[in-house]
Amino acid sequence: VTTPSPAAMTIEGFAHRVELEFADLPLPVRNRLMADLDAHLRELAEHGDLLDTVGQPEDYARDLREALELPGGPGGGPAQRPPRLRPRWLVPAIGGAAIAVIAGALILILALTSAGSTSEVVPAASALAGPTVSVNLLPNLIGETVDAATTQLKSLGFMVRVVTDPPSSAAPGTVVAQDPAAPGPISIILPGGSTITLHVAG
Amino acid sequence: VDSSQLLKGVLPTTALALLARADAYGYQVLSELREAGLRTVGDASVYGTLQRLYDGGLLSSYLVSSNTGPSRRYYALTADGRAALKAGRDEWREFQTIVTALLTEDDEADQAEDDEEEAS
Repeated sequence: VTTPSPAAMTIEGFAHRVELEFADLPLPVRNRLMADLDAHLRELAEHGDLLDTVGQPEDYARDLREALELPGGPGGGPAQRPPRLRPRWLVPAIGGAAIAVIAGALILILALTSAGSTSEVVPAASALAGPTVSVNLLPNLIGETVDAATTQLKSLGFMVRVVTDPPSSAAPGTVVAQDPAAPGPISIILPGGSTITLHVAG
Repeated sequence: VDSSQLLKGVLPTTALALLARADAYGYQVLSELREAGLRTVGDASVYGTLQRLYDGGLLSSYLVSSNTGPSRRYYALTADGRAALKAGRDEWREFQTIVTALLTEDDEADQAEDDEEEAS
């Protein structure tokens, strides 16, 4: 257990006040909702002051109740029906399913590659992606201009981080390395949304 | 007119449209909607909408760990989500055609009344 940072305390205080507004919901539903919300608020807190981004907790709870189509609300009385929440964050699936999917796709790609088909295996990845995991092929971008590489990565759903390296023999503005690397002619598969770091010649 | 009522109706389709361009996490969807001009949209509405689309099987999600902060939950369209986006687009086009026609007629009627008043 780590000591809560000041930001974490703010999140807890905010979440507590939101939870008070959900006092009419059955405990299991409320616990679910609050666990998911806590993770979301931590994400948000990375982008600035929580209250600036989301406003007051009571207003937040009201909007959230409405968006989730939860029963009740201010003066709405107790819950009349169970909300449509079901187990949602299948975190273990990221590990299990992703490995299975990636392994399967890699085997398929290797098979295709060895069969002499070296192009357009992208559909393999999307066809194999399970309901909770989206995977994308990471191309080798070394030698591309940083703009072309960034556009290509974003179109594949990756996040991009650009690091400018000291000047070298490479033309300025071209990609000299990427992390993770795409070894050889075979693209590797990563969860969509992974961040790819491009090292660019200065 | 309370624009938040209008917003509520289009929020699911606009969120699907943004996610069709690229997978994104909650804050990204929120800020893209705001940058696009929906300045009053609230995080709770967007976050709640994403959750509900997920519950309905229109979105899938996955966690991406970050070196600098908490993991981010990315959302992606499922096949059902793409179908829902297409249906939502068609519905919106039809709806906006009808409403635009209705509002245009009202404007013209107002203009005609104004002309009459000026004439008398």
